[in-house]
Amino acid sequence: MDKKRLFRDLLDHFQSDFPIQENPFEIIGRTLKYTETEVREGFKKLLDEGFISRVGPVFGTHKVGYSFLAAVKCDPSRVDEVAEMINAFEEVNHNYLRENELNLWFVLTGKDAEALDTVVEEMEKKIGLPVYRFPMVKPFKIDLQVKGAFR
Amino acid sequence: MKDFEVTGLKLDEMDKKIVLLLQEGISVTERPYLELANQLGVAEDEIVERLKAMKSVGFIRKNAVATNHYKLGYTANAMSVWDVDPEKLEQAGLLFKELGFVSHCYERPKFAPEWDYNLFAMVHGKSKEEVNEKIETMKKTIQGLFRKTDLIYSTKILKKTGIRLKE
Repeated sequence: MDKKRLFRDLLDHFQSDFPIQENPFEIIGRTLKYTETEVREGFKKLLDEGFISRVGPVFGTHKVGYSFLAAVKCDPSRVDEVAEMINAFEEVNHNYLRENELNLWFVLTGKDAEALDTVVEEMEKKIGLPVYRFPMVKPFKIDLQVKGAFR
Repeated sequence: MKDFEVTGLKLDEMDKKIVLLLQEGISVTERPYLELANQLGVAEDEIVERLKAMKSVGFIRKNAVATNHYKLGYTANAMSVWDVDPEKLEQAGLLFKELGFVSHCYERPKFAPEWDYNLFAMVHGKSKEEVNEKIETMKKTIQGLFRKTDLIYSTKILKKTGIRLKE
């Protein structure tokens, strides 16, 4: 069987709209003309190889709690140390090193705005740098789908 | 876990248990919800119905596959930031939304003088050349609506975990 084609089909068609049914893999197989086993083996392989990290519900952050993007201007020599201190906060989900004066960009998620205020204050003390906050004013689009993989 | 009440649905204890148990995702088995149902002492179809209800009110934004886009070959990942007149922001945001390659697009506040951009759009590609081409398309798309733009590539993922809900 063409593994690459299977991977491509699974990701092209069911990346953002995975069925909520008792037998999701069978449904996917029927739609894409694969057996249920082939579909499951395909997803297992994608997970094992790290191409995907999980299959399941994604929670709307603003329904689940409160969240915002934040950034720090950190001297390049301190990046590893500061990133480690930031990542130690369990409220930090994502943290990226970026090519800008503001070079550490991360997302904080917590119960509510007050809870995150406390986290930011504590973080600023720990890293000795101001944390810039970029709360969302309005979302226009949230749809991370990787299209065109395995081609 | 705090009490969640979103339009038309208040999550009960069973919903919360389901949500907490699905944080790492479903198992890749013939009947992924059956094991969960047995564990919680409810019927399999009840789990499915509850998940559908949570999705219908937006508590579950989507049921999806979380991809590692770096691993899939999308190694050029940039945050494009734009300085847009407040009265033109809506128009610019909606135009970006229509571009298939923009994955996330948000309005965020400016704080002068250090930060003079109010529209953020994430763009991913297999090379910087590909991303730069996409940015040119974006510039044309919102021509006349923005004053300046900057492109901030990510060079390293320092942390990436899903949202963790606590009991």
